[in-house]
Amino acid sequence: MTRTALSNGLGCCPRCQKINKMQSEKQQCSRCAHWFYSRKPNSLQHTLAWTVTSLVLFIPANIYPMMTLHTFGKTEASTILQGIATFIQTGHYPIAFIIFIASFIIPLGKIIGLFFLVYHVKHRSNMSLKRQSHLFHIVENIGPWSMLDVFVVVVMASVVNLGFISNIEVSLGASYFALMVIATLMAAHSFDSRLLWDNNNNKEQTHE
Amino acid sequence: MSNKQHHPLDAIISSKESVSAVWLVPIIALLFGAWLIVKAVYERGVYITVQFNQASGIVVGKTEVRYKGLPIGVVKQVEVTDDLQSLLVQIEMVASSEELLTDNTTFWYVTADVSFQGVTGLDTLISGSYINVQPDLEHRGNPSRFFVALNEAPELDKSTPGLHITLKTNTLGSINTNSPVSFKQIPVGHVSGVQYNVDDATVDISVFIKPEHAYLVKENSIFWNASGFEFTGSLTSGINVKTESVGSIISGGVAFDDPKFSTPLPSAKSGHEFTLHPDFQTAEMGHEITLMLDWDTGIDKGALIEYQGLTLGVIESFSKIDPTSRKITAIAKVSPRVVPYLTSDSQFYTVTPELDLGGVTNLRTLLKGSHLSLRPSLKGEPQTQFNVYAHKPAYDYDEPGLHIMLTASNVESLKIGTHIYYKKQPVGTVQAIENKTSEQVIVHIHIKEQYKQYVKSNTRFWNTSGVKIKAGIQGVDVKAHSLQSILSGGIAFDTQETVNAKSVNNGDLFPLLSSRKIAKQSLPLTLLVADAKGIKRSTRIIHRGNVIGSVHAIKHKQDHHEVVVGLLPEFDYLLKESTKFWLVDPRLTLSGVTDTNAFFGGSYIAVLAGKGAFKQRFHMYQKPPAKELHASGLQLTLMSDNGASLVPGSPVTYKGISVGQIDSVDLSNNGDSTLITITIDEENQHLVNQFSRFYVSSGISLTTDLTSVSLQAESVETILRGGISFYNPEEGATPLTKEGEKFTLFSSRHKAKIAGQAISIKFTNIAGIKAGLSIKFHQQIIGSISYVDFINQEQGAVAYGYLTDYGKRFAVEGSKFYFDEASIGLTGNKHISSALQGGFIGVSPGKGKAKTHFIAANSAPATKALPYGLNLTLAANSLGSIRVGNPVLYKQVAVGSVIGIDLADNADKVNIYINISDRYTPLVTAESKFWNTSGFSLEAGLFSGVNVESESLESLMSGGVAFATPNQMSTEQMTLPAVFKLYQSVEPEWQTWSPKIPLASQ
Repeated sequence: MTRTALSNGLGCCPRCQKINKMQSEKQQCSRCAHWFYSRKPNSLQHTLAWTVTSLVLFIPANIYPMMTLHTFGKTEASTILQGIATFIQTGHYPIAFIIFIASFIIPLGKIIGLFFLVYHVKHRSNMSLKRQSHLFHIVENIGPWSMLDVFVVVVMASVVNLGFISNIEVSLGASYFALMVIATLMAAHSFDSRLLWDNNNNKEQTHE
Repeated sequence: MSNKQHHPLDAIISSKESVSAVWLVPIIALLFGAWLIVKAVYERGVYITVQFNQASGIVVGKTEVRYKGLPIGVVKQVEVTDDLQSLLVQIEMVASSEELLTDNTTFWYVTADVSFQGVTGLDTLISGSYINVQPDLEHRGNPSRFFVALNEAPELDKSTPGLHITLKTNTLGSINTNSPVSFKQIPVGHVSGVQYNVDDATVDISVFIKPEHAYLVKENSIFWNASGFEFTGSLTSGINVKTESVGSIISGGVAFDDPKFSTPLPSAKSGHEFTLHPDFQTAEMGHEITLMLDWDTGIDKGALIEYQGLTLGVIESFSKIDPTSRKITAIAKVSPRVVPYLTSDSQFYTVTPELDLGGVTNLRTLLKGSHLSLRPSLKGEPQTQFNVYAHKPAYDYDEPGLHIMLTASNVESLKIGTHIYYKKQPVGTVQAIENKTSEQVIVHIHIKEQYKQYVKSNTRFWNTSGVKIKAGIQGVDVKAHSLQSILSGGIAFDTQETVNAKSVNNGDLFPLLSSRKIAKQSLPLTLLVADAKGIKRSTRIIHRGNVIGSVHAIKHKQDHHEVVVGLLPEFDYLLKESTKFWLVDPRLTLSGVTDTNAFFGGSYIAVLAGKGAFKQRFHMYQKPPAKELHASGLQLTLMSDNGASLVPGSPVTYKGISVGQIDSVDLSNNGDSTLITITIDEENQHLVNQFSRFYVSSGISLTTDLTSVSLQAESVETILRGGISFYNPEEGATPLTKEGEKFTLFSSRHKAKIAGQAISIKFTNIAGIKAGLSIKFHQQIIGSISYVDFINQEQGAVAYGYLTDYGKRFAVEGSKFYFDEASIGLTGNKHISSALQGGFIGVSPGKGKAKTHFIAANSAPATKALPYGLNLTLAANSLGSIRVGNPVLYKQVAVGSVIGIDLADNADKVNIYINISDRYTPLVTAESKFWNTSGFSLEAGLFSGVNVESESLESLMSGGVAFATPNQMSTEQMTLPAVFKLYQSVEPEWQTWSPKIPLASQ
């Protein structure tokens, strides 16, 4: 059975990585005087709150159009899924796939992954610690890629500006989408991955 | 209390996990999301279903529903109805439109449309077709979710910014939806819809004016149908083609403009109703009036209302035709500018073309049809209903100009509108003709203001209607005022320039005289007569053959009649105390017409000038009064066999000039002749002397002979009227001063001319003797036989005749008269000219005392000598074929002629008198030999053949005398013997004589 630093009364300063002896829940790093906790306080609550927020924002982000295309006075507003459908109709399957992944699957996957991790921390899942860590890294690293869609929309809105002939406006959906991505990022950031193995140790202790 | 228990121990303090503030984030997000949901639910679109008959281009999710170009809905679903006939389109409309969606809401599909009016829906070419919606903005209908789309755009919806007005018209013409509406040819709008209005049975045309032009439409703007071409042609203004734009030519259009003659009212509001006029001309006539037309006016729809040639209005329709009152009610539109003049005093009347013998009046209307004319008035109450007079009504007296009345006995060809002429210039018109009594007509006339001053109290009006032809001996005088007055009649007037003429007021009464002549006869005169038989209006007053006046009126009194006569003013000298007037009737008898003048012209009144004080009332005689010797002028008596064709009053002329007149024609006491008394005017009486010869100048004398026809007439006047002329054969004789001298009246000028000396010739042989034979001397007429008195068959007859003034010298002793006539024979033709005339009476002059009674010789006396040439006497044993007139030949040249043949006094020889022309007298000497060349000599010899010899063909035929003179010229001039011997044949030697004898050059 491995022992964690916490179980040995040690804590790592998140700024200078110095291992300090934990005298209290919150203490100052002996080297860089950075106040830190041995574990992020209320990590699960924060993560859960942001995840819920992102889930809530995910809905309008997909219902409201991301951008509005004005062509010769004709207005065409499209949501993410409508845009993907348009690409599929026009035969641009790779692009449709990319956008579908980046704009739909990844945010949704992140939200689901975060929920899973939070659940796992609370209720010790059977998933191996290694896998859990892996999941967490995936969630943490691919999160920013979800902003791809927002960037595409913003770039197009600024580039395609031909006045009456063709004009693209960023719509409300993009804002929701961006907020949703930010919320997932916040959720991933507030998740203290050490809780994963804390739990794992507790489980082993229980087994003992 | 486990904590208390563990207190001494190192209790594990596990702080209770507090709820983190970060949960506010999802709560806010949730709240936000919830708000979005609420908002989405709240803003959820209204789903409606619209049924389309066709929906090419409708795309689900793309095709929008627009209202004023703004998308308010989008197609959500398209499906086909069960019967496969139409499409059901599900549309999500914005929530705010919910209450506008009632069963009054209309949908229609908009696609691009290209037509003459332009291209519409061009935006749909790029943006795709869309569904347009006309919401029920007024919320009148019931809420509905199912709609049936219109097949095409409805009338422009009233909510479109701009002006929405309605035009009312009877017929649509070529106006169509989208037809342009133009203002001064600027397109400012279009027809947005057309529909039939059942209520007032008109076509309502909805018109949309673009907002930027809406202010152009005033409340009294006039609209007209500008479709197609509009031709307006008139004689005066030429042809005018008026069109709006090309689009409106082809597809119709509406134009409007400000009212020209009234102040534009404020701009019209939407919903205003206007009348659409069929054309511009009608449109100009904005004011509607009602006209009551008579039955036979010939006014049709479209007839113009004109005033002084300006078109003021037009008949638009007929609202009522009433057979009982025989009135037609017409609705007319008149120009608003005349509205102030349409009062109860205004008068409308019809002007119709009139084509008659006199020409065409109102020629313009002949081409354009009848029209109405207006006499505007500012007086009276404004009025919109008018009676239309069939003729131009009389002017009111307040109309500028002069209004006077003329009394006439008949109107002749006068009509309303007939012109009044002054110096052949139209200065006014007849306004009305009023029948006062059965015999009197009052003609109301109007003289234009600028000619008013020509009418004075002494102005005389006469009727110039028709043509007056006055034919006289001097020619034919056709009098007509003007062609127009010939045709249409007219009234002329003239004013004498006198100082005391007063000006004339409106309503003054003047007589209308029947002719200019009567009008000229301004000198009044009254004749009292017991019996007016034969006298009538216009009976002439004739003085010496001239018409000097006429009867203007006859007033019937109880016991007598007063004849009102007008005389030409220059004959005022006739109005003297002793002047006498009497009536001359025509007399038609078997012997002819005594007074052609009276015969043709009817009875007339003759005048015998008198002396004394001025007088204007006379008693008229029924027959010519006896002339008093002491009357002015030279009184003469003429004696004639027959007074036919002479009537009192006829003129006495001298060289064609009237110098007097016949006073009376009476039988002499014993009844065998006619006594005619004449008066020569004082100023002309010096023309008459004791040698004056009077003759009847009536009629025509025709004298013909072989060489000429002479038609002699004094003058046509005297031919018709009769008259006496005289001439003076002896010029310079002492004028006659004695009154009552008697003269012979010859029956013709010819007779007067030849009446130099009366002679009588007693003929024992009366063959060929008749009245009218000429007395000739050497073919020249020197007199004539006027009548033959057959004394006794055996003893012959006495011919009485006159020698002319030239022939008087033959009335002497020794003159011999004989009857001669034409003879045509082998030996010569004689007096061929008299062959047709039946002979003549020849004369051989004598010498001696004057003598008037002669006894005719049985044959013409031989002429023994002529006053010219060389007279010779030849003696022959027998005459042979020699005749008077045979030539005398010298070397076969005629140098003289035989002038007489007679037996010698003792009858032993025949004396042949010849005359040698002056030029050839030297040819005759005492030794000259004369021989008879009559016939020819025929010498026949056995060897010499036949030799026929003749002097000339003429002498061969008619005989003749030749002579020759010997060669030797005796120096001593021998006197010619009294008598030469005429040899019966020629000696050959004589023919060889050829002396040279100088002749006088020709």
